[in-house]
Amino acid sequence: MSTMVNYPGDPYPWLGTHWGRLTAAFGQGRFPHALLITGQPGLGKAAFAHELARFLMCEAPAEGVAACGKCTGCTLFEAGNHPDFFSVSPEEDSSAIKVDQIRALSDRLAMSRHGGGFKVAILDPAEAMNINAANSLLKTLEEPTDNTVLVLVSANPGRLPATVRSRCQQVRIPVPERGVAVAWLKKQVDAEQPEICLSLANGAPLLALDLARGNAIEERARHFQSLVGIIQGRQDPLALAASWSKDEDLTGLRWLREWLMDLLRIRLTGHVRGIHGVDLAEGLQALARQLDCKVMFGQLDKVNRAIQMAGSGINRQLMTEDILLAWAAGTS
Amino acid sequence: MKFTIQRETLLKPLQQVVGVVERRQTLPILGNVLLNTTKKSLKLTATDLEVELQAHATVTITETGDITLPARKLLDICRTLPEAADIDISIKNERAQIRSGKSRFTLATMPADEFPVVEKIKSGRKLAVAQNDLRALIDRTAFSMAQQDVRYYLNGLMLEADNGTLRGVATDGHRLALCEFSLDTGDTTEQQVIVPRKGVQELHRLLEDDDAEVQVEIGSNHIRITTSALRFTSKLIDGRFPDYHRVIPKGADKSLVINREMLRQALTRTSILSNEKYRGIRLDISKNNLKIQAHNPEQEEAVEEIEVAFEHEPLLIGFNVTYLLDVLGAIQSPEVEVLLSDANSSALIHAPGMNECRYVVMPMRL
Repeated sequence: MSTMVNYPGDPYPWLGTHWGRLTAAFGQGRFPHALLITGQPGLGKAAFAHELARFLMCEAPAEGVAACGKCTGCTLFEAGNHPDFFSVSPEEDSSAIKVDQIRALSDRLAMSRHGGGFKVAILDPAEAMNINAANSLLKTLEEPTDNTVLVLVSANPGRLPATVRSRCQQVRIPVPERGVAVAWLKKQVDAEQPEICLSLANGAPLLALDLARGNAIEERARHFQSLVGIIQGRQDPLALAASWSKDEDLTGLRWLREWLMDLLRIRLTGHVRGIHGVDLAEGLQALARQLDCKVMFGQLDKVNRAIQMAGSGINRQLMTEDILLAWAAGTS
Repeated sequence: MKFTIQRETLLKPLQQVVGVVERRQTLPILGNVLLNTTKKSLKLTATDLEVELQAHATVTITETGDITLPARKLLDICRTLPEAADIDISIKNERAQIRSGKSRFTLATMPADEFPVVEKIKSGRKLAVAQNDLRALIDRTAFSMAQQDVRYYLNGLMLEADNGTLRGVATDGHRLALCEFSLDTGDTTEQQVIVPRKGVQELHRLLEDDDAEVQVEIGSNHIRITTSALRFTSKLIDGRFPDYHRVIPKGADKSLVINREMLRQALTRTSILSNEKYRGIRLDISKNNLKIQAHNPEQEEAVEEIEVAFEHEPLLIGFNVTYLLDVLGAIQSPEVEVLLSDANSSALIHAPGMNECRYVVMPMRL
């Protein structure tokens, strides 16, 4: 990396170029009034937005590229008390950003600023805004008051209304080069298999770090062995369903979906190159030989439907039992 | 920090500033009051981020320092202690010790530098005015401010200083109130700011009805008014106020002069039978006679006739009666003059021969 800009503390080296571009725009007095930061989960978008806010609220940025950390603005921001900083996320018992939250934000942005920096509002995740919220943001987004920057953070910008997207300057955070990400991962954690974690996280370093810190690899192996156990008659599908359905995130089902796709890939191409579950390559290859393509497609449909319906108050245990019984039946 | 203070000396300034502390805060530190000390004085500051109040007390400080303490708890402790009690306050290990007689309290603190206080007003213009002048200006205009309008720049009172006058203008898009008084200052810098509704109300509450001088500082982000006891600081609305000159009718020449109290009472009576939602009334003006009519969806009707001074062609015009009553409540003189041009143009209302306060009310089509 040659054009490295010192992103403060440099926690995420792959963000350096974007940091450099935005601070340069700031130096030239043409910082956009609305940013839409996009990219898949686990790239550090939220941290980037936060760092940007800290920078914009600093009263004397060091060398024009980083917050000084000493001025009143920085002290207040650090304490979480800066009157010109607004953070909007779904409220605790809700998955959506509601219209009242946006109205309150617009009212507060209409007031003059407290300090000498910018007023900054972060909306994360921006696609959580319901349609009314998004519409009520439009006016503010189009013509914010002076010295105001709105930062929208979204992993799914496609779910934002086009009217919102078109009013923002988009900053796409790409997946970092593999070398950079692996080097960074090795520095963070004493993981045995950073490369595997990175693959499992689709290249997103922060997600990979979470996987490496949790014992995701062992968990996966355990889940996989249980599935193999069902086929070999060692494992009771109903007991497994009872334990899987306790997990609200449906980790078991999501992994089963991923493995079904991998199994199909192996069956159709005949080799393990390009599969997602690199940690379980051998097991998957062995299993693929025993399974029938048509049955697997049927099961994949079933799992997809189940995951889609999961949020709608469906009985998770019954749903999981149904899938695992089909899994047990499909191979015999 | 360490000092001993008499209960009453602390209680009064504390009560004055605690009013702005909201019961539910967005930030925990806003529930606290900031204490700044110098050798001889104690300053207390509270804020809700929109309005900040600072009061002071004269007291000998044994050991100076700055800290923030939970505002309501401190107030409740002071209030419930016996009269004339001496209170010892000291800070140790990020905890505040409060002792008085045999009572002892330990309060949690938060660091003073994390408290969002407005230090200096940037690029400000300073003026000195009598506090009753400022109070009257608010009295006579504030009722016209918009409430939660999407045109956020209308949700406040515009204050304008130019050429030796201080002027307040408020409008909600249907009516406008303007009031001004002259300043004895040589400073002719023009400055225009919009004080948000909440700041206007809070300021009105703390201004007293005497001619003591107060200092007004108008900056680009804040307005600050300092009285002998208090320092009031409010944020401003970050917007451009509409060009109100264009709203004040120029061609209105049909003058209607009328006894204010008589008109007010007649309108109040007539309004009983006006449409509850639209509050429309009809003014049927002919030579030296005014007929006020109102009717509602139930076909009920009210008619009032008053003798007036009017020397022009007859005119029929409708108004929202609430707007007229608001104006009549704000004018002080025994008579009022209403200037009209035709049924589709705004009326200009003022006290005859006085131009300091002017009110514009848009007509209603009935």
